[in-house]
Amino acid sequence: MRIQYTIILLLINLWVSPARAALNLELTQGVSNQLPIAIVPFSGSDNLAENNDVSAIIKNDLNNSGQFKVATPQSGSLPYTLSQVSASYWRNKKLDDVVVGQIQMISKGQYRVRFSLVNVAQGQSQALIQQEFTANEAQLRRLSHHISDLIYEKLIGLKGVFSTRIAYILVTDKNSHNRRYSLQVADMDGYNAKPLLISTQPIMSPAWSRDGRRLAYVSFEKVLPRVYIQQVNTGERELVSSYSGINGAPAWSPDDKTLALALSKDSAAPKIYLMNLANKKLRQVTFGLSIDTEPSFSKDGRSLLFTSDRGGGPQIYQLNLRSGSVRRVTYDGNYNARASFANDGKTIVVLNQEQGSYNIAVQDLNDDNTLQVLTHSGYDASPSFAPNGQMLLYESKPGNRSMLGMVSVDGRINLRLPTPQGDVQDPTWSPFMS
Amino acid sequence: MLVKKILKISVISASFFILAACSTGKDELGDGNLNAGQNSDKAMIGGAGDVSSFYADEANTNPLKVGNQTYYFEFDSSVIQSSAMPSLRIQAHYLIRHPQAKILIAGNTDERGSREYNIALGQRRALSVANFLQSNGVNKNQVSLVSYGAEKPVAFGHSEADYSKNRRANLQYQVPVITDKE
Repeated sequence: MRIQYTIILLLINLWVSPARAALNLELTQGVSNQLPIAIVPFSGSDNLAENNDVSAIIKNDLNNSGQFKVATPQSGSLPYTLSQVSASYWRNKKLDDVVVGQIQMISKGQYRVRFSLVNVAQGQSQALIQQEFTANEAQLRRLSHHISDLIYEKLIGLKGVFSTRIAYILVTDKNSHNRRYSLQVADMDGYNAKPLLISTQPIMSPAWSRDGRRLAYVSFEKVLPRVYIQQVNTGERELVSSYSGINGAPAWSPDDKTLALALSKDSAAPKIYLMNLANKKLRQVTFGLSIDTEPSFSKDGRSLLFTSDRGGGPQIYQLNLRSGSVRRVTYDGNYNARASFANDGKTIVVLNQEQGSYNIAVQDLNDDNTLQVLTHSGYDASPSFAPNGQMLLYESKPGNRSMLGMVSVDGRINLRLPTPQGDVQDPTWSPFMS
Repeated sequence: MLVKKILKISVISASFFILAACSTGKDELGDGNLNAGQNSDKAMIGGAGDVSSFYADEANTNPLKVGNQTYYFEFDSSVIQSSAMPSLRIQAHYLIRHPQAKILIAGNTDERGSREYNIALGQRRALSVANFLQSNGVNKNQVSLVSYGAEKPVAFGHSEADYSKNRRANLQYQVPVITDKE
């Protein structure tokens, strides 16, 4: 029998030291009309480890959103509370808002964090938010992201995604016999990366459940592809699909009760099936001889998008789950794949190919004349929406190594997340974490 | 390369029927596509005979040493290239003579495009090789398929040369390879 040199490690609650981010988030392009804001280093920051420097994390979050022009004054007499903020001083520096705060260690490893978001645009110091929190050391990063969310929501008017996570596949030593594939989960800024599965064989298509607690994915650890569902926190997992042929492209329904899959168990080419997760029963929903794959549910659960070559080359189709009717959605370019819905249910993101160039594009679901290409490397794939519908996460391989990128839905804000460790691919953005 | 890793060679017993002695003299290998499916016994006998005339190195009946196990494809195509056919026929011949031998055909694509769609394209390539072998008389119970899509590249750049190296199907023998001689 063939000897399998597969090593599988299911790591439960293993926290990789966050001394360095696994992925480095770098803003490469922000909007031109950014909101000018100052983040004054909180008092007591000197006593914090670099990874837990609350005001520094807030500064990075707001900076990387591309929507703020962040100033971080270091010298002079710095305010830490609302009463210490002189509106005229900050107005003179052309700033609209100032964030100030205090960090106090109340006992070993326990901190009290106070912050104020102060608006000075009207010539007076006006507190927009004033809050106080207690957190232990391990919770400081998460608290910092929460504060960033509060500030973002107050000033931009949309829900922030600083407390969300991303999942992706990391490939190391790809050019050797020691190649390893690793399914990783990290904070959306690349910190706290944690491997859920490490294997010598490919891992693909991670998909978050809507409650953010589980990931479905494809693993080739047993030679043939199988779909597993793994609990993110405990590492426990369950095999859900190991039919003959292709088992791929898992996608959760909005109520997390159904998993859409691409299976070729009864056909030469994969078709879309729905699996009832309670009893594992299957229902085939697309038919015929074409390749049908990459299903993605609408937010109301009534339809799904999928990639099909029934028209010749891969394009996006929408299947009405009640009536069974299928209509084609994309016409721009001869290759459109890997579609998913934005929150508004009206916009979709696709991988679009035009003259050999593969880029991320968005389109109005009901108007195929509105395809707008957002990225430009020509070597992009796997787009995934942020849960607030404002940003897209995707993989990009302009050179020999793939890395992650983020782009805003209007294309104006760009970020990259390269990793020093290897290739990063197949990313997916978590839902809002409850 | 991969095949050699799992290779275990064992000596066949003397009772193994050596088919090379038979010869029908006809160009049946060329018509193998047409005949094999209909009358497998005839194809097996005929195929063996023609292999001995086709390939000079009779002493080497180890399929891993004759021909190769990687077959390449044109862009967006799952058509077996004619340059791959002689080698595939050697494999078919071997598999027919050794009904216990099993192979895994792995289909691959270049890096371009969407990953799951590439899984389906890789599957088409693996199926294409399987169909070719079966139409040359190989029993389908000896053949398994898998598609790795773009997940197991052997070349990592964006050049056409890199892409062509990745558009491939590999054959891997799944049980100890049995040869006629030690």
